[in-house]
Amino acid sequence: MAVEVSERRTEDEERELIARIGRGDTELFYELIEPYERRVFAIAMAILRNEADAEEVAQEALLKAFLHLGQFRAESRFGTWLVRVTINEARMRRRKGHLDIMKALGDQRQSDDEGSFIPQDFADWRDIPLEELERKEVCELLARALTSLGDKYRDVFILRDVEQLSIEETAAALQISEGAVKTRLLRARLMLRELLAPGLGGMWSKTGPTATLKGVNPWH
Amino acid sequence: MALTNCRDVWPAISDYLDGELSPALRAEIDQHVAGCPKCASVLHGTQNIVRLYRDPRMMPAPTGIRAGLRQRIQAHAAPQRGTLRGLFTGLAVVGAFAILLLMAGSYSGNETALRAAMSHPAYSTPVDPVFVTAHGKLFHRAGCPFMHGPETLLSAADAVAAGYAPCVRCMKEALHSVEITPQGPPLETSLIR
Repeated sequence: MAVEVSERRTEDEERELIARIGRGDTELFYELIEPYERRVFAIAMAILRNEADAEEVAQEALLKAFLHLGQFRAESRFGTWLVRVTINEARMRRRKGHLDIMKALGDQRQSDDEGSFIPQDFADWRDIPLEELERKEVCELLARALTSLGDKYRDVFILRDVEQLSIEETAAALQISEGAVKTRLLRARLMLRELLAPGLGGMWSKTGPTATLKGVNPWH
Repeated sequence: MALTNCRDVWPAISDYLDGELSPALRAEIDQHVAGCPKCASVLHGTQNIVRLYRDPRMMPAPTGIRAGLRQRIQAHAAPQRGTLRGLFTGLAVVGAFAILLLMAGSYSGNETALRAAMSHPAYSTPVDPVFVTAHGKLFHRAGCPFMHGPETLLSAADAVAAGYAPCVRCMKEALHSVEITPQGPPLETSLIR
């Protein structure tokens, strides 16, 4: 059965492409990666938050994919495999820069139990217009909030929400269960909401009927 | 019937947004949220998060990846006359040397220092990701009862590189994947220290 992997290519066509590259038609590699280039860069960018680093890591990941294409097993999808290579590469780069694997927010608070994140800020900020994204500092703030999450939450969020992979694809790329994808995604989303809610960040405090509910716990 | 407790609503919010809930549970949540400003705030704020991050403007488009990549691939491919097969052969040779060097390195004192001097280093690296904690010295399987504190998931190779050693309770195979002789494990299996 031919499964659509991108707008223009089926899984079978992709397999054929990989086989031809393996037989020596290396120029086809650029055609193979074309639909994934943006994703590879976006993942590297989300993890490293630095355009120059992200670009280099994206190149490194794609180069590795090229060099190890012979080891790629056809039972998994090329895109999924490439995501894994990219995440590994970006993490390695980040660790080289500074040993911060333990300092992420997700690891400091209540992270023993993946499902038990409790919202603490109830300010309402539903009315933020998407046009805010035109402002560079808003994008920067969102990116910074994302990098402050622990690895396991951020990776799931990047693949599922930023890159909009399905739950199944995210699970395959990270080699975790679909259940784990769901619990981590819930936590990542709630943590980001909390980080960016007007009461804490102050970023959007001007919008909406906010702040009146801040600090009120529903169980009190 | 509406859910009465907010704590029953929050764990379902993500699935709610992804359309993964049964119609019955969805209706219960709708009903609760309609009468609960706090849950409405959490739900709408989370929805906003998803909407914002899914916007294509969030991620800048890659600019110079293709040109740089082409250069790097050519640099690798040139000595092998541009064929991938040749490239793999070359790489295998380089890889073999790298392994030899790594082995040599591990015996010349260049290895990453373990986080605890008394830990037994890993003799093989598990394929699955492992868990570590900020103050722990060991890496563990998920759910190991001997892991304390907030945990981080990372690949076993990264854990080893960061100086973690395998937990003797849950990571036995990483400790003793080969037959241990009285002189210790055979040299060629001790790639990672």
